[in-house]
Amino acid sequence: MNREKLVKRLVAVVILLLVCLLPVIVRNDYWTHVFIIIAVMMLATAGMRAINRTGEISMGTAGFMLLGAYSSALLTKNLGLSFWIAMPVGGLFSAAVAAAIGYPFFRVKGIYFAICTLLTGFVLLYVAGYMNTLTGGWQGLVFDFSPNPITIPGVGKLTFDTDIRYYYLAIIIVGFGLFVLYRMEHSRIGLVWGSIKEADTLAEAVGVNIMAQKIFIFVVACFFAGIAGALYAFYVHALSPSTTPANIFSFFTSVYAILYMVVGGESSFFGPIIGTALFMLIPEFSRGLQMYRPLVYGALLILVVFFMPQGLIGLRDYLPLWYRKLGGRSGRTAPSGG
Amino acid sequence: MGTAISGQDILQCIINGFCMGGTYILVGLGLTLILSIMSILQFAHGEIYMVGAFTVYFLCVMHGLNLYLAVCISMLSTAAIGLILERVLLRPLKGLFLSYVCATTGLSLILQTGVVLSFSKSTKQLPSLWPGAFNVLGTPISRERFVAIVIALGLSLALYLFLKETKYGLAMTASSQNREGALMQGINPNVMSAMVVAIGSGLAGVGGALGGSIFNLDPYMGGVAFTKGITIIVIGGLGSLPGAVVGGLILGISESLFSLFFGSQMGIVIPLLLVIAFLIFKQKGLFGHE
Repeated sequence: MNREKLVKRLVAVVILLLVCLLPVIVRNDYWTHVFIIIAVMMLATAGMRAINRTGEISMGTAGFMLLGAYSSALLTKNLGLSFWIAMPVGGLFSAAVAAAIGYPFFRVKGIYFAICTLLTGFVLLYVAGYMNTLTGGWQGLVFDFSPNPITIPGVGKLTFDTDIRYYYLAIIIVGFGLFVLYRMEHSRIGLVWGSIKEADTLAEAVGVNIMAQKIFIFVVACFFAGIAGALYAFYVHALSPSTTPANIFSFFTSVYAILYMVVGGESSFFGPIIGTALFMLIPEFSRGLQMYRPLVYGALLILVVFFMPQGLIGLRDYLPLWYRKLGGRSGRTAPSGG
Repeated sequence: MGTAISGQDILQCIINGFCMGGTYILVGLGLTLILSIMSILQFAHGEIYMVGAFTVYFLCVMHGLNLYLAVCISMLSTAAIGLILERVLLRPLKGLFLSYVCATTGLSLILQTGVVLSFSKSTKQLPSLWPGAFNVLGTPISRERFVAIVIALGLSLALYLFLKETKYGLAMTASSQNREGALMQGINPNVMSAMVVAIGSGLAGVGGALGGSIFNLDPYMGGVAFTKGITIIVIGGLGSLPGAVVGGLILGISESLFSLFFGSQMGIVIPLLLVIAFLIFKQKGLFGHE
């Protein structure tokens, strides 16, 4: 028991070290860029998974990222606020929108909630395109503000003007967000989410305010989605409301977030994180096959749903099972899930 | 947009909206049927619509087949795709919410990319269903739109009669209202699911062919059609066929009127807001029963 804990700690330390040293190891601006985008998506996906812990699926992740991105960018561009204020305000703005629509949306469940959030994502995209005096309309929004330098006593002045420096900023913020989500899930709140997912009537009977809990987690998740969007905005400096798959704020990102979660394994906190990292790296290793990317994604999604409903994180359970099946001996029944 | 809007513009708009509504109806009917019998929202339904349009393009433009014959073949082939789809993908995942959402979105990605790879991304056009225009009260109405709306309403009527008058149709209705009860009467839910997905996909295929010949076709047309489909089945009431028809007409007309008065982007946004409002305040829609 103790040994297992030790191994886990060790793995965590190694991964943490690796994450910190990545840009130094690869020494390549392009890869640093890829890692930053992956970090941003990780935060958004982890937030979406938190909503899924209560049994609901949000298909509007990209919409809330858009809210955070546009609001923080506009605050900096039009009001001259610094990044350190604009980023949290962007997150809070996204959270405020989530709070406003949370009550009506959570009066419906399951597929109806998914449709609501799906359409919200579309509406936000179109609104960003329509308000062209404020957001720059369909041409998109271009601004060139980077996070302001901060001075830490005893350390000196920190600037964030290069990709590597921005990478460290991004992993600190994303790491903080992930830590908060992790602590929430492994506290009493996490148990309450589970109870809502498994048996909502029962949970309500023992005094869980389902509506308040669901709105709370929706607001938290959308806050982090907004933060992720703001991080993206201050890194890429160009936002667009286009509906093509290449745009991070399009409907496809919301679908990809679900994909990362399911492929990684939705039952574990680390599943979606692994899924995001893996899936966003695959196309980078096959740049010539960029066109086939959605095709591969779609096929993998279907295969995972059918053959590994617990995702990559459940691989430890599947491997012996497949091995036994291939060996021709009658295996146990498949692990349930999905 | 700043110039005065004449009565003729409005009439033209209403008629255009009516025609667009026709293609939406064909998508919405399939979605609502599948939702009511299988409790599955088929996320790849828009892509079936797109495949229908591209089948016609393939047969008619690339191989010179008669347009109407091509539409018929496209309907049959999308229905066949529906049959396979139901057996392979939807039936095993019935009731597993996250799984079918993932599997059907996965399928839509596959179909989309498949079409991009085989026909390229560029926008394409189908020949007109019936070239020329009628003259109604001094307003020119293109004949192809008239044909489209006639086909759409005709198919909806045929579906309605099938459900109300034939043995299989009644069995289907029974299965959608009470699954266990229908099962006890000897109605096999799997046969019903297969039939419903095949019919729905066939209708979506025709919708795609009509939509493709009135507007343009490109591999991403399915996403838009799917959103429209959801919009109309929510407005009309989930699971209600007359609701889908009325919802489609309302959506088509309101969209074209809103874009006449407030610009084309608002023409898209306002119906979406309308749907969210319906989902929140009146989940039954206009014609829902439950």
